[in-house]
Amino acid sequence: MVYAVSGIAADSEARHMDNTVRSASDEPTFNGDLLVDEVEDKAEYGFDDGVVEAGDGDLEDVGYELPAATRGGEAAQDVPDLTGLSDVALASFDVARSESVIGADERVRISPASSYPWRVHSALRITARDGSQWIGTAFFISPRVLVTAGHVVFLRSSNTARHGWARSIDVMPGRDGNSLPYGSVRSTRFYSVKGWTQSGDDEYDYGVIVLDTPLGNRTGWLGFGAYSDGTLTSTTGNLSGYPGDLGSGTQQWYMGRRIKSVSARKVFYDIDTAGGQSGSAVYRISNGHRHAVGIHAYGVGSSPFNSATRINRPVFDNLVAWKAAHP
Amino acid sequence: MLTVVQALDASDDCEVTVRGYVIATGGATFIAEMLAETYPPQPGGAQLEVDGLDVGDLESTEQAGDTTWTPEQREVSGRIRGGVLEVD
Repeated sequence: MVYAVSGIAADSEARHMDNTVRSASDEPTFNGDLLVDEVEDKAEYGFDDGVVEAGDGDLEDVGYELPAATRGGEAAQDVPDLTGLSDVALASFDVARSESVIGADERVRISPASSYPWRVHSALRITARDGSQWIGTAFFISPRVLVTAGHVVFLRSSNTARHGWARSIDVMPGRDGNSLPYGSVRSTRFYSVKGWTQSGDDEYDYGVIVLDTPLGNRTGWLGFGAYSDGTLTSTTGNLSGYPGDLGSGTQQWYMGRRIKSVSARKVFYDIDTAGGQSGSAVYRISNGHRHAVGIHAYGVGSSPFNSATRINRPVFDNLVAWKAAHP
Repeated sequence: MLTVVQALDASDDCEVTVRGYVIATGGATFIAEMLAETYPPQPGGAQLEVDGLDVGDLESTEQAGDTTWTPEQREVSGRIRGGVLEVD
């Protein structure tokens, strides 16, 4: 049995999917320097705040059970007063409920979000080439590298002033309303793949954000793996991110539910999401370890489910390379 | 009624009704197969440019920044001309 994991210790049951052929669309692209292709980094990670250990189950313990989970578990709190937020606040958007809440909204607010694993998930403020601003989410996979959706780092638009790499992205790990427990850092270094930046193919919609400083040494990070179809469809997907419809991108909301189906390059689920949660990890918990299996990107469309870009073998290899290139 | 993918394959100058998310952003309007989940969203998957439709005239739209979109799929009728869905 072959397995492929990164970051947190390897899961002996994890298998990489070896039936996805790498194509030209999998070739990395960058908004500046050349990619340095190196072997996987094995750096330790450390914590300066609490750690929520994964239990025996495959859901995060937030007072929440499958299948009849209800909103408002023990982590839920009132929406804070957003008056007087700093300039990293994103409270100016007039928001409403998204199409990608499937049935009743079962998302649970994570507050505070300064303990592991919640602090690996980062609220993003994205500034596009034309200065327009957007909300997204990303998650750490190493001290300096966060994974997100391709359309977070490279916005495709018919408007040539907007189309292209983001001008900058502000990364706010574990943000909880006004609280920025790990501060806010700005990145201008991004990677994606040609399948997204050149072709706009939603099956290649992923990328990474590279930080100048090793902030991930304070937050920790998720592992990631490429798994078989059978493993994924018997897995509970966990997803936590920063939606625009709840807290205007300043609050972290979580939900977990069994993955519905997979294709070679996508993972489908009825976990509730909304705009702003693009780039969130879809991760599994197994033997107490957390490994991302997909990168949330799209709401309901031709499929009746929300979807993530699957971490298949080519995606895995690129993530390993990007992580190794930025120790 | 066509999906956006089917509409992209429709022959020129034919009347069609297309189902998808209507989203106006960056100065152009599209009907898209799905929404990419930044906030505000971006058109995702297959997408067809729409001309002659004011998204603000549709019911139950949402708006943030310069982006206005329908949170649910809608049906839009028009004529395909040069790869654009023209609405009268």
